[in-house]
Amino acid sequence: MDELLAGFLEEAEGLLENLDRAALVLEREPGNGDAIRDLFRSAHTLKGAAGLVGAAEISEVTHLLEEALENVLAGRMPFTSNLADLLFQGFDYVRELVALLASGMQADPARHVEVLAALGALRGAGHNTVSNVGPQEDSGNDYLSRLSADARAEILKASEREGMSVYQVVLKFDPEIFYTGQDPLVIVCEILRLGDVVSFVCHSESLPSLEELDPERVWVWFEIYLLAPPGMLSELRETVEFLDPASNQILICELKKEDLTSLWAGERPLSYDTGILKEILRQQKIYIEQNKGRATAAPSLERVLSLITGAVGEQDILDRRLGEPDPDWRCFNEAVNMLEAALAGGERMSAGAGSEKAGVAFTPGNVAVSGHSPSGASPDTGGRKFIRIEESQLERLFELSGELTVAKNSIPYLVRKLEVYWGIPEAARELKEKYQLLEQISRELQDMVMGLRLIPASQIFRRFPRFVRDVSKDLGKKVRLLIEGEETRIDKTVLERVYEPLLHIVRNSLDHGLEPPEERSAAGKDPEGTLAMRAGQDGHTVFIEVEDDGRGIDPVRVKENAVEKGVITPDKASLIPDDEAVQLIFEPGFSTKKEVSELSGRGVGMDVVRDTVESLGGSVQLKNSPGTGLTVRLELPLTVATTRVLVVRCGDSRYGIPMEDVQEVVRAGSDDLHGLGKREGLYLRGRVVAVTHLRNVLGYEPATGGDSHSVVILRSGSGVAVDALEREVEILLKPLPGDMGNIELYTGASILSDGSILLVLNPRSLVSGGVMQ
Amino acid sequence: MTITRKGSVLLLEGSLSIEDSWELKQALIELKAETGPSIDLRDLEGIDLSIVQLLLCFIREVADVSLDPPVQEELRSILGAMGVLKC
Repeated sequence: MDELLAGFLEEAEGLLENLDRAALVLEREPGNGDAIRDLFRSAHTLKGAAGLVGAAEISEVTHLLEEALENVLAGRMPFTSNLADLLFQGFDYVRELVALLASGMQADPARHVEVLAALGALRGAGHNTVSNVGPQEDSGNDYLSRLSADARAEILKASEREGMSVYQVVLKFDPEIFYTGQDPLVIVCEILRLGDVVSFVCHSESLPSLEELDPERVWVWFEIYLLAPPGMLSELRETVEFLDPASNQILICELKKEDLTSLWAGERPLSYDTGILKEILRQQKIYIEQNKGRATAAPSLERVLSLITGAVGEQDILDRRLGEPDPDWRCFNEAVNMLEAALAGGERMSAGAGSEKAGVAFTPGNVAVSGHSPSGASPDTGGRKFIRIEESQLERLFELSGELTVAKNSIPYLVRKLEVYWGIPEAARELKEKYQLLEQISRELQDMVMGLRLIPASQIFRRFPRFVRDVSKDLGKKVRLLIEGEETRIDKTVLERVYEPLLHIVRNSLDHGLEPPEERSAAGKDPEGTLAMRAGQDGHTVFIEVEDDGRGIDPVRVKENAVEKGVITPDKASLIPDDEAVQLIFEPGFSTKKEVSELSGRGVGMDVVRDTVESLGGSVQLKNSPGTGLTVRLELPLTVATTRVLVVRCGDSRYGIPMEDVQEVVRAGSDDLHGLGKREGLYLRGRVVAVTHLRNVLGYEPATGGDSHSVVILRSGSGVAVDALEREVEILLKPLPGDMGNIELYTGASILSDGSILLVLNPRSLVSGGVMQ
Repeated sequence: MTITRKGSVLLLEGSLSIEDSWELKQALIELKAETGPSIDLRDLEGIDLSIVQLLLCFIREVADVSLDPPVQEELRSILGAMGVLKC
């Protein structure tokens, strides 16, 4: 995959997460200006970046999204729930397209057309409430068409005045124009002074009630018809030349009597449309002049050019460029020339990049250096610089650090050899000093490298707000998601593997735990349920909790279900205390809902959650309060990069048994072991433990009678008899190379500090019978 | 700039702008509770669109309000055009 595409894929992921996050904020706080600006910027950047890599379908979809967001930003469209749903649909489809791009596949044309058609509703999605400015993007003819008969009569009469012209001025100001220090009333008054008012309408349909009115926003718009001498267009335009055309809709044009007559008789002359076009271009020309070199200019230029070609037709533009008797067309030509030059030149590249990166890529190691963090990364970098590095390189760095530690650990033996065997104490002393320095550097390096494996819990937590929003909406439940401790750093491998279990736990909470609003109200609870996700560290372990204030688990139903499924007998069910009964949910195939909901899934149960967590060396705990809620707590190791093993001796070799599989170690004499088929049995605290002799498994001479043995009792319930126990060590476990990796008996190997090789046993294979002698 | 209330009369004097808009909004909300409210604009010297919007809102909601128009002709004219004052 080429580097540009790889960079885009990573950036797209971050931008899509940002879009989700900002849209969720805006859904809860429709007036949040920062969120809408964040949304717009992210959509704009994504569109530009997609354009750079030639992802046309992604550009097409993000263009629709950007358009809608620009309307919200400019106050032309409110952010409604309907709009939010469409935006999320758009974001999800872009994710699909990004995934297809990553796998080198093409989008399905039929599906693409279907999605674009559905997203076309974005254009009208905000209009389920009255906007605060009025009808959007109408042409001059549209306003004329809506005039009352009286106003039309006045305008027609004025248009008959010899030596005078009627001008149409429509002013829809940016609702937040006051924050720019401008007062729209000043502009209106200036315009009114330039001629005689034929008709003046202050459209105030969108004014809310006095109590709801935000006086710092503009709620009205103006439609003015002026009688003034010909040639007043330029003076009229000067009154609005400092207004940003991107956020203020301004229309100023001269009306001709024949055009008005035709319009009101049902015809629509081309020259009138051309007038609008010229005005738009003139505004764009002002914008170009003011914003040359700014990346934000290019998108608006593209839109205008497409507007021109759509409204006038490309041939018309070319024709009019050739001969230009009409002085106004000079402006048009200049504008078109400038548009084309700007689009063909640097502005397209800088706008199309849209990327925050400074963009220097080094092929060796595939490291891209950016001046600041990529968009979508964790906020508030505090001025720090970040570097992107391939995961495989990080893994290699980690391995090298471990190998350095092992190599360094052999130096003490060399020191002893120099002292004792070769009798060179001075050299030994010097080497010892160097070793101490090497020890310090190696320890710091290893700590730093281990730290690189740790990533903040926010990396998975941030996927949940959107999930909770969508699922709770589908279920008709109101849920507030709280996230705490997302800065807690956890091993990358642990975090990745715990994501699916967390998803299942949250899904369970939403589906089974949290009640619908009516049920919650009837129970005296807040109709909106609370779901909290927390992470924290406790020594060498970390925890992740999911807590809800829902129904909790009903132990009676759990027992009934367990009996029904044959998990336990009715007699046993009657003996289990309620607080222990809830643990039955970890039994495979368990579900307390009469129907398995599609949401909570089939075959993915709490048993899988527990197995996954325990395979990481962790545990799952429940804190249940029937009627009040449930907390599921996952306790996990801080890192799985190193493995603690119990070193045992068998014959003249040493082997490791992973500590996560070790329950306890006992001493057994030959009298304690009794024949049990091919194995022996050890009676231990009221039960019989099947014991396998490691000597037998590995093909050593059987142990002689009368010997006592150390027996390692595994968590699986079986035991392994060994010659001797040595110690617990923390090792860097590596897989066995080549075909040796297929030997089931071993999970891997490591090098001990004395340089010897330690083969680490696979306890499941030891007692599965597969390698039994 | 002054926004003064005397019984059921709200007196606006001097130049009012967006900085005064929240105070004016509160004053208008309180005036709504009065019987036969009145707004005296005679000594008004200047306004901006934020003030016009508030006045428009008020007269739309309070049918029996009476307004004393500004002495200044231009102000009178603009308020008339905006629909605040009945021409």
